Amino acid sequence: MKLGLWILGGILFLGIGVYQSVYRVAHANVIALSHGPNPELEWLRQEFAIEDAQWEVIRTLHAAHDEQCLAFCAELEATNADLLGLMRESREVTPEVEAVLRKATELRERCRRTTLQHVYEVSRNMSPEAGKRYVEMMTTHLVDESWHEHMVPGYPGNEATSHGKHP
Amino acid sequence: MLGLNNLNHMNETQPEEPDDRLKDLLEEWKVEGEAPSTFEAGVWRKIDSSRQDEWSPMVWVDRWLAGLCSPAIAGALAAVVISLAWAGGLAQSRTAEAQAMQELRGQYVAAIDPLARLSGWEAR
Repeated sequence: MKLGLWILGGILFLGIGVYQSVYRVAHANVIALSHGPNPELEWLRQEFAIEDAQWEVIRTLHAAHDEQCLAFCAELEATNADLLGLMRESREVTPEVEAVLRKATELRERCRRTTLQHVYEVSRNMSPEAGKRYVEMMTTHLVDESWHEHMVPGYPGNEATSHGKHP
Repeated sequence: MLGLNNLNHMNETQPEEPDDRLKDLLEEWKVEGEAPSTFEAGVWRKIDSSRQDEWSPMVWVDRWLAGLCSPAIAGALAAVVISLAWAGGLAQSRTAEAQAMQELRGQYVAAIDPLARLSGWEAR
């Protein structure tokens, strides 16, 4: 019985070792990707199988858009703060409140338009098939206000994607 | 009262011959020949066997662990455990990979869309 217990323990230990090894080896790519300097850009490159020449252009486009994006973020935050202050001070919709509301709406529209323009530019630097899929994926996020919920794995209609395959 | 008297009478008059005859026969009976040398061991083996036939978890575990001492059974079990561990590790890594890819996709959207960035995806 004692020998049997040792053999059973050895087999289970071996099983745990195999499980851990296979998991680590198979997951190594994602770990390397997630801990890289720009994981989101590396995701883009892998997901849409972007070639080196295309990648250089896309990186340049991304860097330029990132600056615009940061400027929009600062502007949006400032406008939102103004709007919140005015809304809390007033007890009715004053012309000032209306003006800031209009400004916030216009700003959001500009953000959407600029982002959409960037999406189209990036897609033009991909293969036609990848570009089409990229536009479909990104526009879904741009239109759907609750897009972040769709990021949750297991969310209905949000199947896991794999490299170079349709979502 | 009449019935009881009759019963007592019957007991008194019943012949004792069958008991006497059995007694005589038992006195006359002798065991001929000798039991084989393995007789006692065989009896104990049968007793052990009947004990083991009784189901109990400990008996089952004992038998199972004893079976593992056989190289064929241990090898087969090891093969099954390794296969399951391999498949489980692969399935788990794929699930984790899909989840990580979803996260990165969200980070990319937040990187290109100021509204998404402000909605707090990066803080998640």
